[in-house]
Amino acid sequence: MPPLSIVKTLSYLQEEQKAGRQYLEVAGLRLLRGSIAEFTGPQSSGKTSLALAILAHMTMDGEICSIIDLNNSFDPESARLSGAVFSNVLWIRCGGNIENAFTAADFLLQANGFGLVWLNFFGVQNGELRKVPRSYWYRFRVKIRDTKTILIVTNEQSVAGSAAESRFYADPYRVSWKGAGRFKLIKELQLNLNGQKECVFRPEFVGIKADYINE
Amino acid sequence: MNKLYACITVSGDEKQVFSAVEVAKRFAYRIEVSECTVLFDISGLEKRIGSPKRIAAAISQAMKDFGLKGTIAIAPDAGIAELHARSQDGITVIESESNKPLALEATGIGGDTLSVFRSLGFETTEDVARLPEDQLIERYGPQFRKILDIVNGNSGRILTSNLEENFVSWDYKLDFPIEDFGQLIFILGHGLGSVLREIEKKAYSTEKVEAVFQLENGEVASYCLKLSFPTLNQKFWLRLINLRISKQPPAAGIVSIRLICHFAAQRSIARGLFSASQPEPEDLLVTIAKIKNLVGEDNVGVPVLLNQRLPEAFVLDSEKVPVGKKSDEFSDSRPTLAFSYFRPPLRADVHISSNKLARIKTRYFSAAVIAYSGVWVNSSSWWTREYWQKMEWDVELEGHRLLRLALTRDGWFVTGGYD
Repeated sequence: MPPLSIVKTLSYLQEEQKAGRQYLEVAGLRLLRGSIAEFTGPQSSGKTSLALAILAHMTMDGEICSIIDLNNSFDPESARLSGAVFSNVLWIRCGGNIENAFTAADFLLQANGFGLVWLNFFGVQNGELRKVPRSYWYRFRVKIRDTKTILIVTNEQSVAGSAAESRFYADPYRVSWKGAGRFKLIKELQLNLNGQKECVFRPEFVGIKADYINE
Repeated sequence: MNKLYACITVSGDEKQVFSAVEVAKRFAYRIEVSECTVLFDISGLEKRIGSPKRIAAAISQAMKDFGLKGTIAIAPDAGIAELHARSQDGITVIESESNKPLALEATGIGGDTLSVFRSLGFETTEDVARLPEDQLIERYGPQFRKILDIVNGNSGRILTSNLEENFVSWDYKLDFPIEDFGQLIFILGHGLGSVLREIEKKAYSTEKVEAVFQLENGEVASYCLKLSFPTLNQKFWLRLINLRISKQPPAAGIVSIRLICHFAAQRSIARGLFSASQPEPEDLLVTIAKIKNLVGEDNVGVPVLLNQRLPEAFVLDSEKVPVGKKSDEFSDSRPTLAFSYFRPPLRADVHISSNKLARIKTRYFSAAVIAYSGVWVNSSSWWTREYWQKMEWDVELEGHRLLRLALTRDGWFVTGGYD
């Protein structure tokens, strides 16, 4: 007879915590609400495109989403092409100030009700983000646990560590062009998307198509 | 606080009644208008204007300003003020513990009783007041109690505000000027609570609050907060006022405070069971205000695209807030290749070989060009000096890196990347 124990196993606790929580399914991804999701990968790996697809899906559904734009790099034209509804988007430009970006994220998570809070670290040197104490991420994790908010972080390398519930690593492997000569257009960026950590996503190849306004 | 009412009686002309209402609005917000009388609550005006006589003089002056002729009566009882205004010419002021004789016809005594009183030589309420009350009630029945109450200066009449009011205000005069606004939060909170309670009593809500401060140097600092939804949440309003004033504090010490809350219909807060996740409007506005304080007013808002063919044809509209409305055209979104800007653009050294882009070198990377498209020009401002001056290329580098390269007067730059 096995010894009786009142201590639950860690895996059982994890399952218990997830019971009753909702998932968001968009663009082939499955994200747990009330958690942190990281999109990592080198430049031109499509992580911003994936984040924009999620933003577009949620704003079309009437959820209020926020973009914390650390380096003022966000391009609304790309968001429009993805289908984002601007009247449901709160855009915050932090002008490169990391502390402001984290404080703004803290305020947004405190407001309790945003569908998506996207921390866009495009163009930030990794060394800068490593200075941010890990306790920030755990604080965010605890704050959003019982909410419907998804905190998305896009960066070249993982910064949230074990505070992130799911992590995707995107790796570009092919760029397709259409047309010929000097005026050809980007057709598609194909990437290898791997779900790391707790992730329901099956690793597969993803093609992100380029869209043009006056094609 | 002792109650005090004023009544103005004018001729039945509609214009005159309208002017009388305008006069009343200068002194009160609880106003009752009937045929040719305007009855209003002036309780508390003693602190601002002075004794009831001075208030009467002020009302008389206001009537003169409007070119209005009529009678004025001020009394601690609404019914008594109305009766005096209707029956006596000029200005009648009844102090709190005194009473003035009133013609018996004005009290509403029946014709037979009136003729009996007249035959006995009683003409005014003062004469009736001398008679024993018990005997009068015994003779004329319990209904006569109402007449006796009027005689005693207590009509029991309640002012029923029937004028469509649009705001409630609260005033507070400080004993000495205060420069630090933080010290006034408690007083402001108290005032805000009282005006919001007043609005709630009337089953209204508010979406516009004005805070007006009289300053030591004679100037007036005015702050107007207008929301897109009505709310009676006192803490929320106080936070907003605090955030707004801390951004632009008054230039001198504050001498007096005036809070004005405008009426609005109440908000319906019912949401569907399957409605999308949204922060409460109060939380959203406070959060935006806090973030604006942090990153600057112009850096928080809703993105807006401009209908122009310019390189960066978009702006951030800091006046707008997200509304959380479901889109009519819901489609399953597919990822579309997104572009992101480098701020500032990366200066680049571009190596050109055989009239083709061959290699790009910046302070962060150096890579060979695999493919590129362009040159693209997307400015149509032909009337400016920048007319078609910026040339751009979409470039694929080694490692499948997609960038946008630009050539300007200042040289080569990597302006952003596809990601």
